[in-house]
Amino acid sequence: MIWFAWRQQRFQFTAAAGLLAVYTGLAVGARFDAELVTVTQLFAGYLTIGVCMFWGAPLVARDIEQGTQRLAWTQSVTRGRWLATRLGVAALGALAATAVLAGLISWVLPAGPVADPMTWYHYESHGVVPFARVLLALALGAALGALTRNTHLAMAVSVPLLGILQLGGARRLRESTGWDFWPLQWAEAGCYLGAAALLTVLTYVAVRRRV
Amino acid sequence: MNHDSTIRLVKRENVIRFQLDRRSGVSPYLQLVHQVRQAIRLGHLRPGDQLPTAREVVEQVAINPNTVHKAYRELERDGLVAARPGVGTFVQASLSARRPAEDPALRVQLADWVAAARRAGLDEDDVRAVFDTVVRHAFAGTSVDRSGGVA
Amino acid sequence: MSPTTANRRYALETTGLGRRYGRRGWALRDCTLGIPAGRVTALVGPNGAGKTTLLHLAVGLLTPTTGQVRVGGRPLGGRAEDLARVAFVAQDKPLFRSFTVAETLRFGQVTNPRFDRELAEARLRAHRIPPDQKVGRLSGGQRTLLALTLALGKRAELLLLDEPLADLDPLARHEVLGALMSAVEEGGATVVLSSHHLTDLTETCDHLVLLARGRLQACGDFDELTAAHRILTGPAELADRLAGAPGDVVHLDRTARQTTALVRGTRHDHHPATVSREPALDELVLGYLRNPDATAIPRPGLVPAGEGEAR
Repeated sequence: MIWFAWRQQRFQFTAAAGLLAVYTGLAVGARFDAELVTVTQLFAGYLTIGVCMFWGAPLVARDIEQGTQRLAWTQSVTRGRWLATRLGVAALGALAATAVLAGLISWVLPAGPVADPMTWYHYESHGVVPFARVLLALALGAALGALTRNTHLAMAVSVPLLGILQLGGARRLRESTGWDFWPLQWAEAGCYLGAAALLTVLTYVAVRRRV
Repeated sequence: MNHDSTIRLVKRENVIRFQLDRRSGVSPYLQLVHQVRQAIRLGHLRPGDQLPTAREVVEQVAINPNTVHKAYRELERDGLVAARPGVGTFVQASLSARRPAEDPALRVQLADWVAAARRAGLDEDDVRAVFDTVVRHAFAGTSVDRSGGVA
Repeated sequence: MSPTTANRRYALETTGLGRRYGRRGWALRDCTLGIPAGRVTALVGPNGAGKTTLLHLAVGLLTPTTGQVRVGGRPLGGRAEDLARVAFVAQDKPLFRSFTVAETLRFGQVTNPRFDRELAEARLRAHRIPPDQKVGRLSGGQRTLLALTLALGKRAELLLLDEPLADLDPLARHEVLGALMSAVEEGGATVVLSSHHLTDLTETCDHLVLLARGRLQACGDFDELTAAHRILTGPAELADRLAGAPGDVVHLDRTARQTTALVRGTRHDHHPATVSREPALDELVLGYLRNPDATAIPRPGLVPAGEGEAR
């Protein structure tokens, strides 16, 4: 079953590895040229967007578009387990990619100027927030794919929605509370994970209800 | 070539091969019965020969397995073949040594009759219609398939 | 009477089965039928008759709005064990196009506890489908054979196929039907296949389920169904006589001098100047298709095949 989920997401795993290779190139460059440190941190956000569009959105929608859900859902595996396995495999992949990226950033950081941890690009690429955020991105893409049953539509809608969630929700929390780094990180990550859980339930309901 | 035992491809060369005429209006089961009788009559099938297995027949001509079983049962009832469980179905008897198609006297009589019918102005369809009616009448009451006689 | 109480063993039974799709209304309504085990059933009806809906309900892809589905005498639920009991080949034969043939079999193996990989591989060898071929590059006939092989490998009690012969050339059609029949002969599986034309199925199937406009019109053994109907050819007045028994008439055609009718039962065999004969299966189906409101199923409830009014 895990093999099946992995086999269908092979492209995403390859693409994530490719993206990480680009980041590594940037990071190596940043060790020599301090200018690139900020750029690397800025680029970190693209991983989340990539996961949302290319990993989350097709996760359910691609099968429905190609009619292969009628193949997958008529084997001896319940839809709940089917969804859990593929979401689980995707989440592991996305978390691993995020961990590699976080490692790269902490590796290049000493090369750059000492930054205020609360500057947004530093804050957003450190701590637990990137991990929670990538899970939210995945769950959002998957939920929109399951609801719209259309990969491209889900891709187009998911990124602005992800932006709204981040700006409208998380950043407002940051600005209004004036908390320190870690309380704020945990609070924000908690919100992301809660939203991701809610979206996963929504995806499950959509998968259960329709063929 | 095939080492698998779950599916038997054609390992043994079959003596006969069934064909279905899908427009003839004759039911597939009767067509199978006729073809075995015909093959026995023509000497293509001899006592001891094995008939194709039901699996081979259904795969070859794409018909319901029950049709094949029904045909083989009928042939068995007539004593032409015998089923050996787990082995196959084998030809047991031969049909009359007399081969009607080669019986010169009968043929000549029929040819004379056809010639007379033509002289009387009947066309091919009329001749067939008369012939069919007479045959049907003559064999009414006996089984549909006794025309060849049983050994 | 529930079909379970009949002494036949049913592989698939539905009772009062119905499915409604939001605003589009009922796709299938009040469907009560029984399909005996070990048979090959033709599910026939025009497009939109509810064939796919019935199959999707029977495989658990859809949940019923009303009624119940039983497979092998037990209700069909949504658990993995329930899913393992029915194999399905959906319309258009969906397969993962980027997978190879071998990966497709591996998919079958990891998602089905009873999957018979050896059987599946032997079948593919017999059909000369190479394991390293990408599914997307197979021909239509090969894709159907692969989808069928995958379904057969599942070793389910019941095999459902939705329009398996559509878009196939005659040779591929023959090969698919041959493969299906040999699987029936080998494993004694119960098969239901849908089609909107019957001609492909008269020699392969022995049981008929006829649907029109989401309702069941007829269900029964081929021979028993034809034996329970008559085609009458008689004078124009025959139509007036038959008007007295509207429940018996499936289809009626009247000209100035002549009446032709497909009727249920043998009660009308002795009208004056009327010839009565048993219909061929395709004549029977055509008669029902011409009159979508006719039904061979007495209401309410179901009389299992062969125990209908002709007896």
